[in-house]
Amino acid sequence: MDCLARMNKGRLSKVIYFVILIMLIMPICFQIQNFVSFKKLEGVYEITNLPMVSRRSFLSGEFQSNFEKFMQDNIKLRPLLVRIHNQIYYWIFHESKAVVIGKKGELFTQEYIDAFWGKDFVGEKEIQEKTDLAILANLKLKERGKHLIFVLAPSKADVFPEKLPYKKSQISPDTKTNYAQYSIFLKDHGLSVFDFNKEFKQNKTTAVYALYPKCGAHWSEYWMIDSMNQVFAGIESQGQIKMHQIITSGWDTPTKERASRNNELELLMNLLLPMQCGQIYYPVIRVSKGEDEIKPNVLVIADSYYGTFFRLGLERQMFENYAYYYYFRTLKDLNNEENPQSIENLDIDLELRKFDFIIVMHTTHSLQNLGYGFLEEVCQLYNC
Amino acid sequence: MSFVSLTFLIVFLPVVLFGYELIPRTSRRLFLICSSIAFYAWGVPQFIPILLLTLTFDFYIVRILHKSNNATLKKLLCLFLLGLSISLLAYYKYTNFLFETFSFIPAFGDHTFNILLPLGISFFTFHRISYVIDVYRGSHPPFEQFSEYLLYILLFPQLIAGPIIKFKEIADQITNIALVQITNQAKIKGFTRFCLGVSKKVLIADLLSPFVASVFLANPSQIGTGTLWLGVLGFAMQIYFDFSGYADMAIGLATILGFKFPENFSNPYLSTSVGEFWRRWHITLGSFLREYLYFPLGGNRNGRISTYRNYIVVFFISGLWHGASWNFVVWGLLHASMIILEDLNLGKIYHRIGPVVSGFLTQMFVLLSWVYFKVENLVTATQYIKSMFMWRKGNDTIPIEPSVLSVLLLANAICLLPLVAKSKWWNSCKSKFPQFNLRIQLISQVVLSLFGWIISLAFLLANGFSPFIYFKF
Repeated sequence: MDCLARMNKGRLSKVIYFVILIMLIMPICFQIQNFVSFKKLEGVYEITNLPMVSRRSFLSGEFQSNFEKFMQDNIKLRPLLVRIHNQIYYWIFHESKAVVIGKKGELFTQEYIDAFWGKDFVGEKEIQEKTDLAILANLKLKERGKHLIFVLAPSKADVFPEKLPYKKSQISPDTKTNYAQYSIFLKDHGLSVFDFNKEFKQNKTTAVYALYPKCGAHWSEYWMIDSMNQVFAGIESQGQIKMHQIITSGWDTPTKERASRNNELELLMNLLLPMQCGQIYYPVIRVSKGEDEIKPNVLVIADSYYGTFFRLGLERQMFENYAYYYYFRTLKDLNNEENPQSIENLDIDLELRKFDFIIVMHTTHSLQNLGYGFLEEVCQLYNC
Repeated sequence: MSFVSLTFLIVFLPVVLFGYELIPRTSRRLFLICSSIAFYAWGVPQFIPILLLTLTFDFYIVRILHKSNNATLKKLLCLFLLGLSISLLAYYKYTNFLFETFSFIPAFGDHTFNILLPLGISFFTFHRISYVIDVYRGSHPPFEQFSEYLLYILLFPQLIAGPIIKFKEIADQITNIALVQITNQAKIKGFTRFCLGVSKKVLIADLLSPFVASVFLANPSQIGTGTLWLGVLGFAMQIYFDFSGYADMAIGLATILGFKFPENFSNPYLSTSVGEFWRRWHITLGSFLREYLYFPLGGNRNGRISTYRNYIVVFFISGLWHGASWNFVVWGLLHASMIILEDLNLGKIYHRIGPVVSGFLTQMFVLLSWVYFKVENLVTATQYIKSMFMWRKGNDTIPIEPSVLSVLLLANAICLLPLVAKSKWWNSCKSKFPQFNLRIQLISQVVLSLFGWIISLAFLLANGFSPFIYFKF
């Protein structure tokens, strides 16, 4: 190699090594700058705070492992790099750590699949005990002029097992699930039950509009409203009242926020490039108000499935007094979803006096704890 | 501090490499010692004083040994220092093992001791032994300065996971580190090697780890035969890519810093005999044991019985060195048995049946012996192997994800690549492609390495990230 070529090669190596050093130092540089930031990762997750260092924690290695976790959670490049990882994982393995990818890209969450397979079955003894508790709670509430209504919301895994990714998407007839037992027990013991899991399974081949968004975990708006209208019809019947009606018509163009609710599982995958989630029907929704119609007082105790209705903001048009107790642990407030109030701060006895109708909504997954603790609370208050 | 921790990759490594570029050459040794102590202190700070004390002791006693003309004194000092090193290792690593093994003796009873194991003690004990013996034999004079000895033992690239570097191989490199002109080409080469190691560890070994762990945690008599075989194959790939990945990282880092470390792996899964396997797997360990144990025992100079006895001793020690548990000893002795058999007749049979069949048989043996390496309980390990040869349909408790199969396939393909590279077909294909000039080759290598580094970082960061759709109680 002649002298000039050697010089050029030396210069090239110098530049390359300099670039390498810059790349190595880039994460630290990113951390201390405030000009560039990446979109926060979707989903609910914990962020570790900077650990306190003490002689004991350093000598035991506790500080070092907590610091490693702190770095993992707080590095500013994390959203970009996690998305790179998730995108590669999806492209190569067609898998995601956050969701279950079914056939033709249908998305599910693992807990509903586990519920479908009966992996979370609580046992017949507990189911009987909880049913008995529900019966007693219902009696006590009836004595006070309140109506207890159970709603079994439809689970995507239950309704569309053929779309699950596993070879065995059929469960054997003798598989015991919480849903299968409760759906029979509650009705057989005279409780007011709306079983939309059964209804969706029956209607899935004839439904004009999609029952679920491809990339969503929850029922579609259209079918949720249809189901809620049935529940309101039940309230009307039980309370001998006439309520406002929710009417759906035409095609609405959803806001970004409304559309994102139907792509929640795709968002949870935290990909670099969006998945094809297909179209979903967004009806124009309005509440029709007749002269002799009244707004009942309704308390809803539910998991995230009621959130589909809650986020439409229709409660104030449909109900007089209303509240949504999420898992009977926090009080949901549309204006302050980030920092919900804890139920522990409420006087449940006082609160219950405001409501005439109490809807307890479950999906197959949350049936592990029928009533979320509400039934026990009622029995404790009213001496079942 | 692990090489694949964020603390190392994002904080320690850039700071050390930048610092190394900026400091004067004469300060390199001190800089590396301080970095290495910081590296070790991040893991187990409480052992630093003990370590420094014992190393100081070693250094000055070895000087006395070297200067002495009295052969008996030299021998005594050598044995004393060896005894000290081995005693320290025995105390930290094997106390509970000894008490467990001899618990039937009343004096030992049913004790367990809460003894924290110093990181890398197995490796730096061997380095101390090498130092003492090489000086005793006159293979190389001892270091003039204590800082040189400190650097030999504590140099962070090899401190916690090797390779095992004999004193005489690296002594001059350490002494002359201030004089070495580290070219940018060498640094780039070191970096690409380091990135290769990171990729092997994070993108292959770590992806196989959860599946392998779930297979070996389960009861082998309840898992399908296919899953058992995939479990062992997964472990074979996991341990190879993990260990060789670490070796690549160590060698790469050393190259950047101006050192040349010996290779530690050379396509071990292409071996056609167990003897060959040990010339390709953990090469530096084999070399160390050969030089400092096998040869002093007599090697193969005193007839077959003596040779075979030496094999057994060496592999017994090798097994025990890997872990304080009888399954490691069994694993070591199994390999010793195979080497003895190969020496007796099996080697001739291998020669007759050809490299493909002998290679297959060798890898089957290696695969099955890995079960004893992985499973601590000997009964369970034996049960595992038995279950591998009894057809049983799985019960789906351990799902075999496509990702696991893909990574396993990729790992196997990488192991077989050298065979392809040697083939006539490959050479004829190569001649048809244009030869890119060195500059383009260099840039491509670096780009690929940086790509591997970024992807590995992404996988490391995503590892602990598992969001929920909504807050769950």
